[in-house]
Amino acid sequence: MKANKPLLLGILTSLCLVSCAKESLPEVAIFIYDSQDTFMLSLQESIQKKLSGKFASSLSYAERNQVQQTLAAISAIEGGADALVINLVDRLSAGALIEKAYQEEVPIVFANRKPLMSDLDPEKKSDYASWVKENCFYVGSYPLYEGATQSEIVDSFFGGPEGFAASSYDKNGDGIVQVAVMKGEQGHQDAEERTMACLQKLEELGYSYQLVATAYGNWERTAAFAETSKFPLDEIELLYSNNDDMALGVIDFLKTLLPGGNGFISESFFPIVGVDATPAGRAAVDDGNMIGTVINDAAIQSEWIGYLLSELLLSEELPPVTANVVREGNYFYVEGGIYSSF
Amino acid sequence: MRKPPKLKTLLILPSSALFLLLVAILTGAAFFIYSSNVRDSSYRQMEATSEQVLRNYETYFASAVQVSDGIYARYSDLAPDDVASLPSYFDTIIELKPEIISVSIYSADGGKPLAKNTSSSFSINAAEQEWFLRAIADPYINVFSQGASSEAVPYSFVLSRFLVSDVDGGRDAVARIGFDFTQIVETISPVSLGEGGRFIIYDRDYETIYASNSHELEQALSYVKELVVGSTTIYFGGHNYYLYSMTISNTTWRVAILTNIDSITTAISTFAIAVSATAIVMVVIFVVFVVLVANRITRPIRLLQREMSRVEGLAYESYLATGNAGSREVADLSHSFENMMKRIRQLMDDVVKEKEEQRRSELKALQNQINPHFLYNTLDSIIALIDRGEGEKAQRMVVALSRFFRISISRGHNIIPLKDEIEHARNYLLIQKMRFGDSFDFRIEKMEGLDGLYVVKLILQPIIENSIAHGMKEGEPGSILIKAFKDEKFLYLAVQDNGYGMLKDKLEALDASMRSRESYQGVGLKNVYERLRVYYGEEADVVIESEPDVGTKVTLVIPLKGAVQNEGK
Repeated sequence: MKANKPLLLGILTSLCLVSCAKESLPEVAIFIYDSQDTFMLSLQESIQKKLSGKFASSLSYAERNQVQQTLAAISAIEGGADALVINLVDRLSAGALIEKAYQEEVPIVFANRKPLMSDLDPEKKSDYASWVKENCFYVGSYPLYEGATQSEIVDSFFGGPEGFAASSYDKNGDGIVQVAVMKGEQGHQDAEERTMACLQKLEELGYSYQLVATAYGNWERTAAFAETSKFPLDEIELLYSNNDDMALGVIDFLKTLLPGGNGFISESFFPIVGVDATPAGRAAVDDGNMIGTVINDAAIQSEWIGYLLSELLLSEELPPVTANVVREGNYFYVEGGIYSSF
Repeated sequence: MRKPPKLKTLLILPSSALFLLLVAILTGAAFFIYSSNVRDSSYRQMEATSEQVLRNYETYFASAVQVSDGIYARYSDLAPDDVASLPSYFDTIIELKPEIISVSIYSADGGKPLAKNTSSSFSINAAEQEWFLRAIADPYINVFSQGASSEAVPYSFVLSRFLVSDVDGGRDAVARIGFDFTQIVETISPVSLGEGGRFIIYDRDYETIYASNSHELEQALSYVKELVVGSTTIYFGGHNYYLYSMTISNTTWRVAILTNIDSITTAISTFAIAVSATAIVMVVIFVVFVVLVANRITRPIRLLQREMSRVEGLAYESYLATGNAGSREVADLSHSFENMMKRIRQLMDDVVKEKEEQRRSELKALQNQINPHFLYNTLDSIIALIDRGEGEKAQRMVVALSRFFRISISRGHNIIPLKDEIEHARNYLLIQKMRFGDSFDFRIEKMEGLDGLYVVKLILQPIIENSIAHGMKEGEPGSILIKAFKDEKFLYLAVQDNGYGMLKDKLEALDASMRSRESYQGVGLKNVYERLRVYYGEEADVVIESEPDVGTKVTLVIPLKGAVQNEGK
């Protein structure tokens, strides 16, 4: 027995060391709504890069199934995760997940899909409400900025309303821009706000426009490809896409109409502007198939997700917001930039 | 040191304990595996069923959202002049979707009625209604609210939606679509939820939208609230339930499904009882079996042990029933014990025989200590009588001496008839009387009925010798009385004189020296005492009574049963 004591002590110490080593890195569970969304994949990679060293992270994809995501989140909450980063499938589920997380006091940072105002800022005063205000945040792009920036790209491209009216892009020569919008998802705040903002900005910049077609491309290249076939292509003089993937879907369809699949889309059909600046989107801009795209800055978004987690779990001070970050309560919006040759 | 445990305990306890442990482990494992399997599979099944129900509702709500999307899409690029076309569009919707009761739109700014389907009427004070306010507050979602009680159906809900006009920002509107929920909850809701099972649709504030069973609804909802989302098992109102709760996508509503799982709990507890009963029976059978085996092994050993402890108590006559030995080892052991006992008994018999021999030889040695001086003195007296010419006296003395010696020798017998012993004493007294010139008298009193008794020979003569030597007063005629009598148990032979007697101290010292174990030869009294004890055992005794100036009386006490039989040698 005496001989065993040092051995036992050694085992215990090493066990403790192992567990202590594990303890020193808080566990963050990351949930992504779909493993096929190009932008979300780049955001996810960026988040993981930002978290590495400070946190131990796990990852799960919901494949657009909210039930699956909810169950995975519950098992993470009950399994002792220290914080969750959730890119929701259905933004209306945020409330239930926050309620569940509150039971174990696990903070949540939502990414990309914005919870309702009433979810992150409950009206009723209660322990729950104050906990939520201190522990639940949203970090995402700034759709109003992105929509407006899309129109700024358009403005640079056309060279002002007069430039447009004088150019061959005004197909019917009426001086009014016939606009089509490829929307992301009905009810998605980014889709609606980007669309609203781009049209408003276009008007502010002095253009007259007419909305000739809208479609929901579900953020996907293939869905957008299918939707494009329903567009009155001859009438359209400008196409806004809520993201690059769908813009590429539109381009894919238009290319099928070109002999040999070659030629500049802008010249043959109409200018297209996207959002996100994914690698494929940037390539399309470089090829001249897209006049530009607004950078949805995954790097800065994930940086702020990292800041928030460090504040929540490691009690680090949150840095002051920089010029490209807008904070509204528990919502952090990140402004990107322009990726365009115009 | 602690006493080691009994063999039987050693045989029964550890094996029973081990068996009990094994059975307990087996039972526990069986119960654990069974219950977790049953639970897992039935919970999985229930989860699948619940998810199916949820999916059905999601499909239903998705179709509702589709209608709203259609209206939204149509309104977003609707030219101001085309508002008039909406009522007929709404009528078409209602025709295609029978669950829709009403469709109407109101201006976002102030809730002014804009359009409605023909059969319904506008909501009054739309701008103050919850559905309107919530749609304005969250412009990008479909808002589901509980239907107004004014609707003519049991269950209804309202889908409201903020409509963005891409054409003109100032013309944003709110759509209100009324749904009849009754038929759908009846079609989609699961029926087989068991007693107390239920299906609840509720909003984010846990206000019930629909409940298939309103009994103890508050309590059910409190459990739902505790769970939030996911699945668990709960117990209330006397039943066990599997509770599944999940958000319904596209809505802020949630669904909770409570399935009665009493049957699973019953199955598990039945299994537990059955398994435990089997385990108990197994353990009992095992213990009984072990006890039987242990008994079979230990019983012969216990018998052996008992016999041995009897041997320890000096009872050497034990026998064993080796026929029921139980095992070969024990049989061998018993056999050896038997042999050992036989040997011991034989040795004991030998010892008894040896003792007997020793006693005889001791007796002989004691009898042979008759003082030879007596013979010389008597012969000297006879010579003196002949010298003095008293031939007749000398003749009498020679006759007495002759008788005396004849009886002394008795043809080598140790035990002689009592009358011979008395005759012997009388001859001795005669000789001594003649020698000492009639200085004393003697008398012999013999009780009737003493014929046929035998005694160890030469026991009176040494006592009489003492009386003559120490019991005669100087110058007074002495008197010696020999008495032989018996009672029921003993034969008494007494020799009484009328001499000086003894003081009490001397009497006690004499008695003590007579009884002492130290052997010193030559004292007649001790010699007689020892011979009596050797031959007759503890019951025989010599009693000395004396009173100064009165005389001394020595009584030999001989047990009758020793006196009636002749030694035969």
